[in-house]
Amino acid sequence: MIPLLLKPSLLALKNRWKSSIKRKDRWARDLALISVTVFFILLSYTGGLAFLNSLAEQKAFLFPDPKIIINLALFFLILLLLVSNLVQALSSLYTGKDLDFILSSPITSKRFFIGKYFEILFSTSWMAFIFVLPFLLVLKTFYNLSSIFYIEAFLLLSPLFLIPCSLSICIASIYPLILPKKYSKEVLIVIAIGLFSALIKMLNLVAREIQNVSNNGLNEVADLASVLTFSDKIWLPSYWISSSIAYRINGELGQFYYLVALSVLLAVFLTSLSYLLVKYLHLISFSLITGTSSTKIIESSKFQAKVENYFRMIKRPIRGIIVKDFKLFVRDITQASQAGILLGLSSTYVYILNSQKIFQSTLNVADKNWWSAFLSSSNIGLEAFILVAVSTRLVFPSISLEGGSFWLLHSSPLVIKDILKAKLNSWLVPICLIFGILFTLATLAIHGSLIAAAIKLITTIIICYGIISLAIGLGAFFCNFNWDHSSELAAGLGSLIFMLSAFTLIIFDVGITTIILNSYNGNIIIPRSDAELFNSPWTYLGILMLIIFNVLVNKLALRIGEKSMIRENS
Amino acid sequence: MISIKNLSRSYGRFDAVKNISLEVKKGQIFSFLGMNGAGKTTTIRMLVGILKPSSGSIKIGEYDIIKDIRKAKAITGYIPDRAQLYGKLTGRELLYFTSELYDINFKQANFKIDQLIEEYDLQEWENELIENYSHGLRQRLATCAALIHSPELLVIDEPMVGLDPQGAKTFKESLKKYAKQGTTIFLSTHSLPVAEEISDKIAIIKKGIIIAEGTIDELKSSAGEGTKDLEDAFLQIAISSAKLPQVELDFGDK
Repeated sequence: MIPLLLKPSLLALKNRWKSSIKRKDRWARDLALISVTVFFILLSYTGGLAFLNSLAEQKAFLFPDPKIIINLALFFLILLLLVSNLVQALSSLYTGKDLDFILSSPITSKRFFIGKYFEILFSTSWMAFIFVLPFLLVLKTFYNLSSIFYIEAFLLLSPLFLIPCSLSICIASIYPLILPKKYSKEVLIVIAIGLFSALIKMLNLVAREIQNVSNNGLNEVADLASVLTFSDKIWLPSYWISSSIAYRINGELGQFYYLVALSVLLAVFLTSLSYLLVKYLHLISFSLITGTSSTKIIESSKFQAKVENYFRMIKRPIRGIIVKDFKLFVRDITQASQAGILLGLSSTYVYILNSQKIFQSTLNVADKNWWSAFLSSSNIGLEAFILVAVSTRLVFPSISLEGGSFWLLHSSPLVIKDILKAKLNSWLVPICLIFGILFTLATLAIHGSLIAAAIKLITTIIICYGIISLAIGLGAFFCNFNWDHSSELAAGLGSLIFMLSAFTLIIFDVGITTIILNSYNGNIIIPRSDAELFNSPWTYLGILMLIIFNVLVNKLALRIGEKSMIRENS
Repeated sequence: MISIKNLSRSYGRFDAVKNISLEVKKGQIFSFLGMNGAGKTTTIRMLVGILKPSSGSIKIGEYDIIKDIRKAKAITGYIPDRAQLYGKLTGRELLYFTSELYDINFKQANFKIDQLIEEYDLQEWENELIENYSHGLRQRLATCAALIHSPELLVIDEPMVGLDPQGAKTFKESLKKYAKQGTTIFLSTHSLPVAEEISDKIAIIKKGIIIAEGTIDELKSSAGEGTKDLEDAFLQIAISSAKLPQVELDFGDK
């Protein structure tokens, strides 16, 4: 019944559970983690329901149309699932430590496929499921549906998880045949540039499309949201799934079953295709990826001399770790491909920003205040989401990524505290730089003043400092050097806890930033003018509070991580 | 150079190392012998500061491994038995990285790296990614990494694993050379002929307790008449020590 290749993972889980029961501290920790997750689901349910009720009160607004709301969520979910599945598929099929052992055994390709398929599916989907569950509960309560909706939703959501998984296995199976290992880095750079250019082009096209929409008050906003989620593109599986849920909510069962059948058929087709590709191509691709015939000479003396000359101000051991991490990141395809998430999310952010800009110009004065506050908050929320997503995939696993090589750092004159600080510095500069520029430009793009943009830059840097510290601290707390493949690190329970903690931290940070940038007048929030920003004591007090709060988070997170690593390594 | 006093280490209810004491002088080659699971690696991990002792003390030179951990680590080089190294770095890059960890400037590091690469015959491989190295090559590179800061103490866990005959010969010669230059060498091994060939002093550990310690001649004579070599002596001592108190083989959480 249980796929053969999944048995070791299940046994490992069972053994871990057994050993946790024996150790009081670990048992308490696991219990706390489960409680936090359940609390999050309840909180999301309550918050989501309150949000929909609030939107429903805006009578002229069409958002409560279920198709638009669900489409908005599923479109981004399916994109994220596709990227994380692809990273996981590349790791599972080519770099897993178990592969030599499995492939040298007389295992059938069917068993191999089933084992790997479920490994990829479970590791990427369980966390998304935790986020989807409260979403379904909210829909059921808000639209007053019967309990059969849960079964139907499960049937519907299965293709949502199966399609990205199968598609990513298909891509991963043919990828090594298309990209020769010798030139993989160069080809990846070309693809990244191409992808980025295509996205920019797409953004322009979409922006033009939005501008063509007639200016007719709040109902136009719903149309814009519809454009935003590509809901008019009927070839997207997210459209089928979201539309079918909407048809079910509206009681149109014929349309509902038609789209369910379409989604399931596509999932079955892609799964069969991925099986055939794995059966006939995996061994060829695996040999190409793991073969040593394409070794390349890398000259490093000149680079090292430049590092010594230009970065004298950084202490040598810290600098050594930063340079090492940078080299490993750009050379490890499973890690570098995660940077695609950064590219994708940033582009999506700019894309949404374009729509927000248009929102502001299409609204009439009466609705503008409510929407200003809503869009301003959603903008900050979106920034928070991107920052957390990137930190979860890239920063949180950075301690565990040391893997079996950690002995080199551990036996050097550095203590754990130094190692954590070096890791913090490795990520702080690039993340602050990328998001500082992105979010500051975003403020300018939505007609924010220079002073507001400068304050946004300062607050972004402080928030990044807090989030990166949290990622390093919790990454150390949940560190696992015995991974089979690197992509599993971002898919563990620890990364879920990090995401939840980071969102909590951001709520506090956003609260303080809102106080700095806005004033409250009656029942509406109004952005401060430049003069107000400059003269108000809230600006300086707010920034000071933000600094103190995030420095405290840094100290606490690194301390927790350090203590845990010392305990685990002793 | 090494002073271990009443050192113990437990994993849950299992005592891996029980109240051992040792002294190793500067420039000595000290071999630590024992069966699988005897407590060799646990002792070595405490010696290089990556595992905390449950009780007892270790001094490296004048530095206590708990109180002066940075200074103690700065004069120690460590080669683990299965050295896992960053596969996506080249050999030379790994050595640059190690030199930075030990705060060595680029000029000195470059000079030392050239010297070590030549000594361990890695010229053909230095600019290739480590993921393409054989086990023996990795072991040689790990040795270079451990020697980059010219340590006063070199701690080696199973040095001959994966080395070909030529590599093993080079390795033994270099150990003798470094010992002559004043480096203290503490090694654990299952290869008794190697221990016999290069060691100044030997200790045998069984179930976490040191059951014999001395020079090769002293061990041979304590093993009894007719003992031809270290292998004989080791087996005699290990068997005759069967009267040792039984240790409950409960590995607890480990």
